[in-house]
Amino acid sequence: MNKNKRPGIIEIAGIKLWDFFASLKLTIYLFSFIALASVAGTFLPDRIGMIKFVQDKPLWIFKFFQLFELFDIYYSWWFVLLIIILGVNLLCCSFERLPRVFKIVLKKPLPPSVSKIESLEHKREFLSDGNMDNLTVLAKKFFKSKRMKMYSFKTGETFSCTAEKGRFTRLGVYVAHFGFLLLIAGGVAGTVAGFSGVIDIPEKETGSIVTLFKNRGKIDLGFDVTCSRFEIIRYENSHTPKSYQSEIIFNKGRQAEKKGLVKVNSPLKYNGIKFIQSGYGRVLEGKVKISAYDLMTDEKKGEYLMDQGDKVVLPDGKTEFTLFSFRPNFQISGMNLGETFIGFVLSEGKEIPVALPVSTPGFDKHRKGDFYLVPDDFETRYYTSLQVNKDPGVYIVYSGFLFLSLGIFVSFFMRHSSFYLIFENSGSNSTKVFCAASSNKNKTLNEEIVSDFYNYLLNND
Amino acid sequence: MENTLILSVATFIYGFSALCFVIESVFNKKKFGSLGFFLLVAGLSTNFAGFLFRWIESYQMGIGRIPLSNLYESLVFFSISGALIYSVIYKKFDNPVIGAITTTIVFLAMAYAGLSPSADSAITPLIPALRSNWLTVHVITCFFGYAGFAVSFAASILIIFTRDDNKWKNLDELNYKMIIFGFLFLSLGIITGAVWADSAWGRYWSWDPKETWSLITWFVYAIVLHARYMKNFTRKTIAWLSIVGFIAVLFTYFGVNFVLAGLHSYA
Repeated sequence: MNKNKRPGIIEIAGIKLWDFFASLKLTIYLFSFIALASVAGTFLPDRIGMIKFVQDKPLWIFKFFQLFELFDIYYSWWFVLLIIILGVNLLCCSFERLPRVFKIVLKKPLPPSVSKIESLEHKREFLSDGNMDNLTVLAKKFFKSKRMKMYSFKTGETFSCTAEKGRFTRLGVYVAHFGFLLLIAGGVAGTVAGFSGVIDIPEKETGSIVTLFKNRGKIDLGFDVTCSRFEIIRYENSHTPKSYQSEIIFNKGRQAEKKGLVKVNSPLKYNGIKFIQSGYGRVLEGKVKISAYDLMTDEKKGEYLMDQGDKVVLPDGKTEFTLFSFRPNFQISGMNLGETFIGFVLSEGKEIPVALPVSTPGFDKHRKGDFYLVPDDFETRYYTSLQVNKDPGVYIVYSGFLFLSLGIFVSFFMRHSSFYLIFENSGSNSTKVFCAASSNKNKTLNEEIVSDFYNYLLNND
Repeated sequence: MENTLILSVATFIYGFSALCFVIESVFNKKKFGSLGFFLLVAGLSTNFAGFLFRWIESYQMGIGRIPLSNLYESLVFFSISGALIYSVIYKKFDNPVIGAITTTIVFLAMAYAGLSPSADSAITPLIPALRSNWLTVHVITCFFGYAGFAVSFAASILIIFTRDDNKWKNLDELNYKMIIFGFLFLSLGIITGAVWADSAWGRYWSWDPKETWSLITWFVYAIVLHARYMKNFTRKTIAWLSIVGFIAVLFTYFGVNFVLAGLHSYA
């Protein structure tokens, strides 16, 4: 007995499960959840803001955030799950409804009956004094002018026909849905099999290690990237950059395999990996000459050729100065000092930070040490900052875009409209006309075409 | 700067147009409606002239770019789109209340552009990342979409607040048409934005707040479009949803710039 019953339960469960996934209600719930999660994502701190956010909060909040990956909602397991369920939902809905739609789309229209015409909302019946053959010719002309395809049937004393256009537009909504599915598939493919990061290469140097945006990990590209030249193009009579670009050479081993220009808004592709001009900066080239001046007399007391990290003793014989680094855009309490050398002096056991902006040589006087330091002579070189992306899903996504926009256009702005017509011979040179129009949307236009037809017959009699 | 002068004139004309539609709605005076429409078209022409002047002036300054790149310019273009859409549908859906709401929104957008300190009217050079033909397509599609949603917002308000469902003809049809128009253009706006982002930033989607909010808006209107096929969604529920959609539009447009930071902070 059990054996007979069990398939029944499974079947019922199967049907219920199918109904669940093929329901429009689920779609609306998923849309709402995804939208709400996205709203939350724009207000919650991201990975960078995370540390500051959790600092003064109890531990469980941090654990809760971590469990649901709330610092990275859009890549969290549950967000991805919601999107995948939406994909399944879409597939089930399509499979549920497509067979019916295909039946309509693939079936040739049948001749209308008088009762069918009378059952429609937008219809008209009238007597015409033209004969049937003339009227048939007129009808053909009319449908041609409306770009409708005519299927005509003649049986003795009556002529009946169905004319229609746009039957295939009924598939538009599925084209849009297919496009949306492709977007999901392409997005997943890109997340699973792609990467995204950045590589900084000083002019005339070579690099191959990319720092990933996600988790700051590093990967080796497996080939060398050389920046042979970097250039900034400015607006006329202005310092505002108009564009910037890098001349790049790719090579595996010794052989240069590809040369090209990476410009803002114009990336370069090599080995399926995209290189995008995303920024630039300056690095120190060689050593810098730093001079020490007497604070009282402004007399030059010493001169040091320094590398970043070097330490020297100032002319008083006890104060030590260490040069840290060169910063192309040094910010101090909201002010941009521009190109600046930073370091510190060690005087009587106390460390005092030092900033030496190139554009303001006397800046170090504010420190009020016995000497103030000025960077005198140095050279810099540009480095180019290239974003490096590999996304095998991008073509799937692009075809998704195409199907989605085409599908939206067809399903909302085109329609399947039909026109039903019967001529009935009713005595000498008199024909009874039954006609009606129907469509799957924009039904107000049906009234129009019916009266158009009436006027057409009337005026061409 | 002649363009800002012309655009302020357009603002005033829009204001009077809105006033006329309001008078028509309240006192049921058809004449004011016709005057309102005339003023709307006049405002639109002036608005468009200001837009063209600004474009020409940018060339005279040696910058040479279509004026579609900051808050001021986008508000100006939004007004063009909104006024244009209402002018086109006016004949078929002549409805004083929707005329009043739409022209008021258009007027407010222009007034905000002219008066707000955050909407700088100076013509500045484009930063490198914005120098792309995608900018034009992206902004135009987005703002056509927003303008469609603005009209649908007006229709939805009317649907919610009228007791007598038969008072206005074609109201649901207008609401639906404006939503599908907006939805098509929002989709195209998101898509062109993604394609542009792919070429400029190397990724078609990076979940920056503006992108995310445009997607949220898209989802809200997707709900509206699917809810039509559900039995338990009444026309008023759908109208409420469409209002939520327009709030999402406003947040995408303003909220993101002022509340959240992202890649779009310059627009």
